[in-house]
Amino acid sequence: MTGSLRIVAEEWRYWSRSRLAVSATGLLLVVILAAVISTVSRVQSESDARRSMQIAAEETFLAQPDRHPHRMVHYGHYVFRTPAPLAVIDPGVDPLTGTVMFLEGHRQNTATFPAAYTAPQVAGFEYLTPAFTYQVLVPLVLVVVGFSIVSRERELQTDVQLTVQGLGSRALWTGKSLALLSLSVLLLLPLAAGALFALSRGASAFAALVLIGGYFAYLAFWSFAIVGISARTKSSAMALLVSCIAWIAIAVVMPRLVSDLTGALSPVTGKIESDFALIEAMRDVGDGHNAADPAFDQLRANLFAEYGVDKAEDLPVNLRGIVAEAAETELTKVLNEFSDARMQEEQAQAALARRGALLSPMLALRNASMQTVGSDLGNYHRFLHEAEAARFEFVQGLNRAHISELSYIDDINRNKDEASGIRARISADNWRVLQTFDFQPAPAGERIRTASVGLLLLLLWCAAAAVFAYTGTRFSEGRFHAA
Amino acid sequence: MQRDIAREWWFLRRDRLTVATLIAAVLLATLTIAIGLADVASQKDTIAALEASTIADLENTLADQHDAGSAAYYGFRLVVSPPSALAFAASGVRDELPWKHRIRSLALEGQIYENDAGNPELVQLGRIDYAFLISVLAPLLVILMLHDVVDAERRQNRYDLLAVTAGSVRPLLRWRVLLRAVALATALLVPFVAAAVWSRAATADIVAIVAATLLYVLAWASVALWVARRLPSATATAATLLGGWTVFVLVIPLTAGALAERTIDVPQGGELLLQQREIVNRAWDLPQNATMEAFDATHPEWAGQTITYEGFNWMWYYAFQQVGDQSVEDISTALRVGVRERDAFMGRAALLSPPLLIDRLFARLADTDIAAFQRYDRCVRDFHASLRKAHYPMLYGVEPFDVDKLLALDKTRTCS
Repeated sequence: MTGSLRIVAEEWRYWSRSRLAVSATGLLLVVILAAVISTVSRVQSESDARRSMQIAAEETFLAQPDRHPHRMVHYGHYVFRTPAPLAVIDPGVDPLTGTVMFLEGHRQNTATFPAAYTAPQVAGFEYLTPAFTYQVLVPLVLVVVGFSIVSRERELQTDVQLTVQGLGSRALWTGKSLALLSLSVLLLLPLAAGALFALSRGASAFAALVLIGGYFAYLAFWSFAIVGISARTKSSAMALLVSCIAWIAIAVVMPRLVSDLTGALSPVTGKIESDFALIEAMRDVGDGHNAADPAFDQLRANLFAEYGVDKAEDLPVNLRGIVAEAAETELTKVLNEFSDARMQEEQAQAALARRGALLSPMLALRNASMQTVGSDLGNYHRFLHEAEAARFEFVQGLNRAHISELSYIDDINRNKDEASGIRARISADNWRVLQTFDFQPAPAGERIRTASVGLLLLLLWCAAAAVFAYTGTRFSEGRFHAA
Repeated sequence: MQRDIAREWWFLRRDRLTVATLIAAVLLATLTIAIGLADVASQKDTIAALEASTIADLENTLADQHDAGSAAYYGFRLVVSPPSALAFAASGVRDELPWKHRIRSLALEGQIYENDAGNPELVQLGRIDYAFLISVLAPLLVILMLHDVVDAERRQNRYDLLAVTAGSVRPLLRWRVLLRAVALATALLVPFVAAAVWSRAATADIVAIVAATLLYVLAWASVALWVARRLPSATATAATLLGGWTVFVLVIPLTAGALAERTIDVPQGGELLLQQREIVNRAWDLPQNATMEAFDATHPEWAGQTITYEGFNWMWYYAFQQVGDQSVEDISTALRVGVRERDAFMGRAALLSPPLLIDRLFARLADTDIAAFQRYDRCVRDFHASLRKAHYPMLYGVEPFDVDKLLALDKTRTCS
């Protein structure tokens, strides 16, 4: 072990004298810090803005005067999606998904205004986030700093000295890997600082630890891979070439290729297109605005039977409200059927893309990272579900007020004259059916369970790279003995 | 000169790294273009399907309507921006910003921000389109192919020998690098030109892309040679060039993007929506004259017309929809101006980053840039305006309700 530690110390001394290593690491640290600071501030200001608009929307709703309840159904409400606290590390799909959704009766609107709507277009890579920096840039710097880590010893024939000193391949493997791993730990410090900030904003400590662990495993994969490549190649030049090609393939080309191929192989029907089928299905659902719609004949008959009356005016409840409530339930069933099918289709497509983790450890990390943070597609769907639940709840709350607080006679006469219009209003106290909306990602345990597949694959990649490095250093030593 | 080229061609064919790079270039170019063409074809299929469904749906829906108000309310029409002839080469903003809308005569600000976008997890991964290949990957291919160009000679001790016999190695290396760079550019461009001609792209656009790509590859190659001459080893050359690549491809564009976001404010979309809803809904509580006056102010041609208001009137309803749009015109304009200014900022930043410049050039020629999106946005607004205006005579009762007349209006609009 002391032998390995000596190798680590020696490597650090070598790096500190290498202009290339110092400048590459220095530049990288600047970029990482810029990424952490700018992402923290962007996510935080976005989060604050959305939260304050949410409060404003709720206050406006509650401040509405006495009205006909159905007016409030169409007045509607807005819900805002606040990003998960750990999104300061990995915003994931947050910038690409809608931030605000209009909730109203009889319709499921889409979430609009993703950050991308106004984002400046940056060639190729969209945002300078900590996630991007660690997934793409840090490995490149590890390559540049470490490509000659074993091959150099061979070229300078210092490996002879190592062997003479009784440092075998195991010590070489441990020492060289530990050297790059310790550099990785150093580089992870800004990420940990970002995670600490997220903790202060209510992130789960467990999730933060898993996240940092995931990024460490990914950098460990690279550390081992670089040692392995360096040990197996004939020269440092060849080691650099091979590691660079590996980096281009794993971190730059593969993710995009997976995205494009998934899109081509398993296309998802667009929303406008699937809405036409929805329109067809909706034709069979009665119009809740029209209590005389034949679709509600049965409902009306049952109601008349239940109360022993034969016209709507004699009912103790407002038939129009009952029809509106029933129609909303019926229609929501159809709407949910379609939106659930759509989300499932999207999830299936995303699941196919996630299998790309078998081809690139970056994809394994990327999946695990977004899922641990709660900035993945699943959490966006969670928002859509919660928004729909909020929509249904306040619309039906208003419909219930319509049933019990407004008489049928006043209701049907509402357009007669101004006084009738005023009689057909109910008290603004009824607007309190609106619940506070505060979107939170899934609980940490659930997120980590979802991320476990990605994390497991990442560990497998890491283990494979460790074996590759270990057998490589033995191979390197064997070549020395043969020579 | 011919002897120089012939000799270097001979060397090129025997250099395994160069040959491998060239093969990789042809494969990548073919792959990215095949993906781009398939994507464009699927966009066209989607548009064709949407057009057919829109027409059928509109005919179906209008047949059931008995007044112009309901006809306008339920009559959705389609606006699309079809992919251009060069869209296969640069997907640009089409993954993130809408290029198809279902539009009706209600307030447009409640409709135009809808985006029927693809799966965000796929969009987040990005695309490997031809623009990405050229702007981001091509420099890496240059570095791969040329980082050893000087060192290889030194290793074989030919460098000194050549220096003596050929008088100078400079022209020799220059020929070598020039030939390899041209070969690389050709490998990248041949599949593109074939696809561009096949998709009937404008010759001037093809020439522009070919020229830009050639220049760009040559520029990286010259830098590579310049660095290789000055550094002692191939590895130092490669590492330095990779550093330069990182700065130009990542650091400058991403920093510029962050700066553009920070320094150029755009209004929050949520604010726009909240305000627009407020105005639209307030109309129900205001005297109808207040709405009609605000409407007449921007539609003087209707100023003399009166409507009969008995608790409800469709024309009044569409008037307050329009007044709602008018009330957020400032925010809506500020939003577009902000986006345009951010884009202009990136345009200036691109002068510091050739990869960004190339990417923007491709997107501009392919009509997939912000400017093209804003033209589409304008086109949607114009279509909406013409649509609602076409309904007004019937809504005012100046003309009788006539389904055939409404069906004769554009059911779908192609913005290109």
